[in-house]
Amino acid sequence: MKLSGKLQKIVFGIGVGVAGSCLFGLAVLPSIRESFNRRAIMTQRVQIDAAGASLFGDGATPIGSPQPMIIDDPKAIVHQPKPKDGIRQVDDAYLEAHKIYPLQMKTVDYFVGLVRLGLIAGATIGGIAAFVSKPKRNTAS
Amino acid sequence: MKTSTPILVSIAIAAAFASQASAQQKRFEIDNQKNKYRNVATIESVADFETFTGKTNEVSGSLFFDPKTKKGGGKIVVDPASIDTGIPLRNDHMKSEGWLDTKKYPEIVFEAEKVQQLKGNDYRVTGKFTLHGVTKKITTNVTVQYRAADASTKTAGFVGDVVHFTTKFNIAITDYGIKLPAMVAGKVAKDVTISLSSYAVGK
Repeated sequence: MKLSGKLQKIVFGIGVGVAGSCLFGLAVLPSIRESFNRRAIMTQRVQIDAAGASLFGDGATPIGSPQPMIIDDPKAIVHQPKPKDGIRQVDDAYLEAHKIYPLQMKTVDYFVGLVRLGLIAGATIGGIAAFVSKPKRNTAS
Repeated sequence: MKTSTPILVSIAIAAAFASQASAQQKRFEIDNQKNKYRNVATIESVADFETFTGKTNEVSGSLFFDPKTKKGGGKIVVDPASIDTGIPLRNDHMKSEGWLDTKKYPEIVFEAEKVQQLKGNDYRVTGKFTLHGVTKKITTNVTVQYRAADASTKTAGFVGDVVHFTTKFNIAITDYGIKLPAMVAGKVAKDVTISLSSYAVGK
């Protein structure tokens, strides 16, 4: 398919713009992911039962398994002098009462993966578009 | 919120011991009134997109247990309509016909048939697990702790002897007639972990 000269320039410009933007996105994506990762802590949601603990020695019933989450409200984190294996307990009742649904790092990674694929596809398509529509230089002199 | 994020969830569990209550076995009722908040049944789905845990305190049932012979049995019922996953829309999906269909199947049940003490407070329990109207035989390990009534049980809010039991096991929800649509791939896992921590009081 042959494009008119003006259209060819437009396609070339868009191709370069898209490819450049996507490459820039790919370059900064790890920093964005890392900014979330820095805020994430390994947590275990628990249901606190201090009175029950006096009977059977376990005052925190685990809700699900430990995982890295971003907890912006420090009051949700149960005070422990020495968190076991570095895992911080999070008070499930507090999360419920304040309608907090913490962001999980795996969700961040899932989106980062999708965005990365999109940016790679965009860079590739943009690059191809720019390549095939590249204005030819007039070599005749 | 994006499309449907159905979520399955159900729960139920296991616990208890031997099959038939003998004369020595004492009956324990799960305290789902005063100490209801202490009974926790959960279902966890670990998928690529996220891990979510549905939780409910609506656990009922009764156990038979003899702290001397370590024999017992019991039946535990969980209300699937009460499971909360933290997202109201997901809770609605979970209760709907395509998932747990809680109107048609209002109970998740575990009924112990065979109990074998492994050591100390640890038991291996085999029984019938019913979810979404489908019953299958499962075997799970259960930890059972017993405390005779005393000042500490009273202080903790229990009237009578107390049995605390916990268990955790995995099931494939597709084995229980629940279909996973392609649109939820990555959001809901086929294999889920069910766990229970509950208190029963001797009558």
